[in-house]
Amino acid sequence: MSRSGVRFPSPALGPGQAGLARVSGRATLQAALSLTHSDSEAAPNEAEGDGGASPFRQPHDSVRADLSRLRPAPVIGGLRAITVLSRWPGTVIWPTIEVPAPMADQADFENDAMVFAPQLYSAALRMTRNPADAEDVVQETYLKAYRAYDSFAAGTNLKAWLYRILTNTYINRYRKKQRRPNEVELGEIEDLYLYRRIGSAETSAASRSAEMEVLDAFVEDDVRNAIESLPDHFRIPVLLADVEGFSYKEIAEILEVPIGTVMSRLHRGRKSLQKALWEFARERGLVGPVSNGEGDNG
Amino acid sequence: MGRDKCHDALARIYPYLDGEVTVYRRIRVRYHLRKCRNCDGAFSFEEQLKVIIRQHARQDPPPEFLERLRQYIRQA
Repeated sequence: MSRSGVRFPSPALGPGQAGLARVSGRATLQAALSLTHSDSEAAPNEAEGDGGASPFRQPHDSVRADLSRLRPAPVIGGLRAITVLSRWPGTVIWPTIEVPAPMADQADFENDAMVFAPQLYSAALRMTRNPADAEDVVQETYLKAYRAYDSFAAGTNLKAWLYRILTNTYINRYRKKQRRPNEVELGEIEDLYLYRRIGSAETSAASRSAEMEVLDAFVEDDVRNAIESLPDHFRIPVLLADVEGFSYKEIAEILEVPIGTVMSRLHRGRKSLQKALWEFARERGLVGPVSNGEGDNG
Repeated sequence: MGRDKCHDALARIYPYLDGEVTVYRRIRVRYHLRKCRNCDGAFSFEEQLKVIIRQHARQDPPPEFLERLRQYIRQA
């Protein structure tokens, strides 16, 4: 049986006719779409469609009957796919037609975007390193976002879109001639730097795992200063991944670089972060002297 | 004997913790972590570090700022 589980009353259709159903399906696409875009209208019509009382359904017309199988698929990334199920047992035709989502309405901007303000501020603070600049950057971000909101496709990733404006705003404003650490210098930081270092240091704690103990001893300022000590091209990916929880793909879109670049910057950024944390831990005496190979030659 | 497996697991530590590996890989790594105390220690440490970074790096704006921002957008 096909997934629909419902047999049609009419005689078998040839493939040509199925094609016809699909073509006519497209004609009613607009209707199906407009129904689902505004919630208030969508609910009753969708309910009817499922119940078989769809306005498209006419039992004596086999092609029309196929159209009653037209159902809106879930919204994925702002594109709506419409699927038509075939009538033959065991076969399902999935002609997927992608329709761009409508543009967002500027009047909704405040409602939609203000929820992200605290997060954006927090990220801006880590980027600019001081509250006054962070406020400026966030304010400028919101102004730009508001002006461009008509071109934002509703239903797509608003959070990522705002972060993209934020990072661009920050980079354009505060781009400095930062010394890019060269490859060799960074290559010297081994993987699992912090874990290995703490593991080889003499720590007072015998209970629990010594490494975890040191982690818990870090205070907010240690972590903040460690993040802020990173150069921009490492700090931003680390912020986006570790603090904001974006996926690699989202970060790639925000920073407009390939995913591979995101992964390598993230990897090296994390190592540098661990090195900075290790230095804070030693300054604050969270760890004792390293038992073997004292000194940062590795 | 377990060297290769440890190497495989540790090579994917960040993608694993970031939720960026396939289900198949995820199961393989988890299976290895159950058997290998060393790798398990490293993974737990990195996972906890991520949690600490996230908790400590977040900083809420002063409430006046949010109010000012709201006013600013309304005027724009």
